[in-house]
Amino acid sequence: MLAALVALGLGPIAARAQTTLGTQTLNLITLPDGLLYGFPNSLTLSHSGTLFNSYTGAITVQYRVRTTAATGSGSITLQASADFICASGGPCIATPPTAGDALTYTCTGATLGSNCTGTQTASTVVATNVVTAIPAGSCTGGGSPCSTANPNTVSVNFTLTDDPKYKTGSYSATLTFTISAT
Amino acid sequence: MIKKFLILSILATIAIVLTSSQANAQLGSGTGTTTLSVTVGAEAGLTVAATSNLTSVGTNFTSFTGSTALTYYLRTTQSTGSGSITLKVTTDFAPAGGPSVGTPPTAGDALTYTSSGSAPGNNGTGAVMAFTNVTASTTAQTNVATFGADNRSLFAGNSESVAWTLTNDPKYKTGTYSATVTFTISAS
Repeated sequence: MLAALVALGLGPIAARAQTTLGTQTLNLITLPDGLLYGFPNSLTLSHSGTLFNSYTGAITVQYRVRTTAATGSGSITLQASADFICASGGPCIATPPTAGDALTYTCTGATLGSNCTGTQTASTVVATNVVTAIPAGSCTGGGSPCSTANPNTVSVNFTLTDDPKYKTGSYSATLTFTISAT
Repeated sequence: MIKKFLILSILATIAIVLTSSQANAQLGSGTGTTTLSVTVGAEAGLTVAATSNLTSVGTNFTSFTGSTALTYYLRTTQSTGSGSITLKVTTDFAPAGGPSVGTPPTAGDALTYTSSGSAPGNNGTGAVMAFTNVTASTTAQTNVATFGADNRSLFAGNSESVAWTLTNDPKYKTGTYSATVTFTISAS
């Protein structure tokens, strides 16, 4: 239907090409934006060995981002929005059963921006870095000046202390990732 | 007519662009949540000194004595779990002519031990940490400690010790003899 309309329209336009009907300037204002894609709903931590090796697991976060030219920036953070049920005697992010117990993570392979620095400790009260320093004028996909990768990705590798103090059982926490762009 | 068509075309284009924009917006979000799950199971481990020397103090064939220190890490299942530390002489004394656990040179010769230690620091209910005058064996596991349900050690581990006594039989030829004792910890 659309093709038919276009075909019909092009004929008259060509026939009267010498007639100026006026010009129109189309302006497109793109605002900084960031989106997380294909987000995994769950991640199960596990471990091998018998001598209380830490539990580990990893997820890949996909994202698209656009930052303001010259002055913009972007980042991805995470925060434990729901802790393990600490009263159950298992792991607890907010009040670790034993000093040193922690849910930590590292970030690898960010295709736009920088991986978080070193080992980060997840928190229930503050958002911690996953991807930082997404530069001004960045955009996802299509190649220069945007990223080649589309979507952009970063891997987050979690480690949870296996404290003998934890009671046996299954425990869950919720992590919220947030992407921001200016 | 042409102008009307162009206006319609532009409107159609704008409509297509807007529709496309909405479709993209549905594919992602500024935030995402994931549920992090972990299943904590029963497990156990221990560390033990590589070598324990037995010595005899005095000259009247007093028994050889010595001790082995262990650090154990343990978690047993709530309500139904249990655990243990056992030992077995997996390699008898060698060379020949000295003591032997499997075939004592004289009836009554034996390697015996008494265990003692601290109960699991994060709940030691039901744990038995001491066994007295147990005769070590080359064929059977013997108890060093046993654990109850929901026993949990400290993060740094808890300690257990085995005090050895080996008969000093005059029949033994002089020399240095070694045996290997294997400790096993288990938890369910």
